[in-house]
Amino acid sequence: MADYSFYIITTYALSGAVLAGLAIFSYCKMKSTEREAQKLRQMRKERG
Amino acid sequence: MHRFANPAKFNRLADQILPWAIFFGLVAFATGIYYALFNSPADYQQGESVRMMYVHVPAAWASMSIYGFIAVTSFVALVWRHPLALLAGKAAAPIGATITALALITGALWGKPMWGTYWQWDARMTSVLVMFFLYLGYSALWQAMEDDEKAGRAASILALVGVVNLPIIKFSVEWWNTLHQSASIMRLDGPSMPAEMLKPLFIMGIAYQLYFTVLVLWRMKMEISKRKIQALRQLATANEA
Repeated sequence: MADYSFYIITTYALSGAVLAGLAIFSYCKMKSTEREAQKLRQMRKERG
Repeated sequence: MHRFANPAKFNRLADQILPWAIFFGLVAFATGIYYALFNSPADYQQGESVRMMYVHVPAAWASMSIYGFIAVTSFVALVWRHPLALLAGKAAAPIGATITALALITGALWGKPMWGTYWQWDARMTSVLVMFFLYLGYSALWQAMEDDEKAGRAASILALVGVVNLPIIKFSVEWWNTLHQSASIMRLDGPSMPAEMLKPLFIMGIAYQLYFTVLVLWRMKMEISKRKIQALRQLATANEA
């Protein structure tokens, strides 16, 4: 039987890295945007 | 439907769904990968290389269902002018493009040892590539115009026109003579695969759907915050003037 380990490992490693990368990026972007909105709201409140 | 057009209500609902979707998504990925790599049989023809199917096929399913999701949100946005529907489509497009790219790349990695080539311009592969470009076009239209309303409408029309590609992808292996194998799961006479292989495949399919649910909710929350920032900045500019 042929050895397919290179293709199998690459498939799983690439998929895992891409999915995890996109998830981390989306989470961080969501959090930083929320923080910025919160900061602006706070500034507006302070200015009255 | 307009009940959830209120961003605060939507955020509350999303915050309730997210922990469960993250938990079950992680469990589904862990279980699916365990079965795919250690607890499912090798194929009698393809041998161990069949294990790539458990990543490639659910990615291909997700790429099509996400496109369907964008088409539905586009329809809702155009007909009922639902504000969150537009944001949902915008939030889903980068996820769909990434998963479609993964489906194409993992398909190529599976194709090389099985067919002797990474790529061939057959109907299935080409129609999926067209879907990838539709995702890019949809996102590009959002970026191309300053007015979000106009951009959203143009992108929605493109998404609806592109729906014609979904049946082409599904039936391409029947309508044309393709290198890609024909359907082995969604067939009129039932799946042609043993239960030991179907189990990890469906678990991974669910994992991809939960992954999409989590990411689309995060990205929608991000889009809502972006709109808030924009509105607050406009208010600040108006007050200064």
